Amino acid sequence: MENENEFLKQKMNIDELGIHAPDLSLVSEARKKVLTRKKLQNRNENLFSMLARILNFRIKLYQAGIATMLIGVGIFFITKKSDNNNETKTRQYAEVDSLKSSSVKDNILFVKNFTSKIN
Amino acid sequence: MLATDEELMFHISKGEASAFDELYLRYSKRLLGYFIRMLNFDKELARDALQDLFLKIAEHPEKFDRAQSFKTWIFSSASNVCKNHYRHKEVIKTANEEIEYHGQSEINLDFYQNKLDAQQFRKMLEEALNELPIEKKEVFILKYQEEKSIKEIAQIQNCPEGSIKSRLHYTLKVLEEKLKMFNPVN
Repeated sequence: MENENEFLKQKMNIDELGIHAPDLSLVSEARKKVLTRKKLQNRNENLFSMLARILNFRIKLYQAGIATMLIGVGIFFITKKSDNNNETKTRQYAEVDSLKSSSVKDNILFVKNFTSKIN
Repeated sequence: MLATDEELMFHISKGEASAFDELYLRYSKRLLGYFIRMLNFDKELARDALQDLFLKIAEHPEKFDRAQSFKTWIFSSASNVCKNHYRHKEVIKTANEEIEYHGQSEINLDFYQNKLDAQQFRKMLEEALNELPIEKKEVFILKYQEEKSIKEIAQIQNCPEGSIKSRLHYTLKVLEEKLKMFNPVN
């Protein structure tokens, strides 16, 4: 049994085929694909490291203070400006009184003339 | 210290061409031998199959499960490449009925070892192998060329060990019959 195995292994040995290992040029296309993978990986790593740098950005206390002040001042001016706008609108509405409109005035004159004619 | 095949696959997935070269140097010859025998000694087709296999490795190295043995995985992939070639080239021969596994066949080895014309025997052995159905031929090649265990062959062919034993037994019986002219008893 052992002899049989050894015999067949010997007959099936790869050297019996008389072949040589094919050179790398046979798989040049596959090799290029591996290299492309590396380029792609490097690009991904660059993006990732950039994101990591942003996330790791260290903020000092005075920077935080200045930023808070600037944001505060900005909010103050924006709210003040919107208050001013509201006041102007109120005044404009007071001026635009429907009773002071020309059509209403005409109607009042027409009624006055009509009643005086009747009388 | 040399990197293991599994480590090389990891480096290939990271785009290391040198790892790919190393893996190719380790396996190209034996895989070419496997393809030559599997593809009926069509050397051009065998080279194409080898090219296809390494292209697949380069394109999808992540398909290799690192928990698995690389040697088993690569022959499993090579087996799939062969099946595809068989499908495309329509070289599948009618599969014969499998016979049950009863034990090992008996070949008169003393005679072979002493009197056989080795070259003629090898030629006839290869011819007899070419006439076998693909899965039986593969079992024989993996067992005697690649020296794989029954368990490994079962993993490569993705079937129970019993089927592998049965296929091997069948193949040995067929070969015994075809090569009986070398046996002095007959």
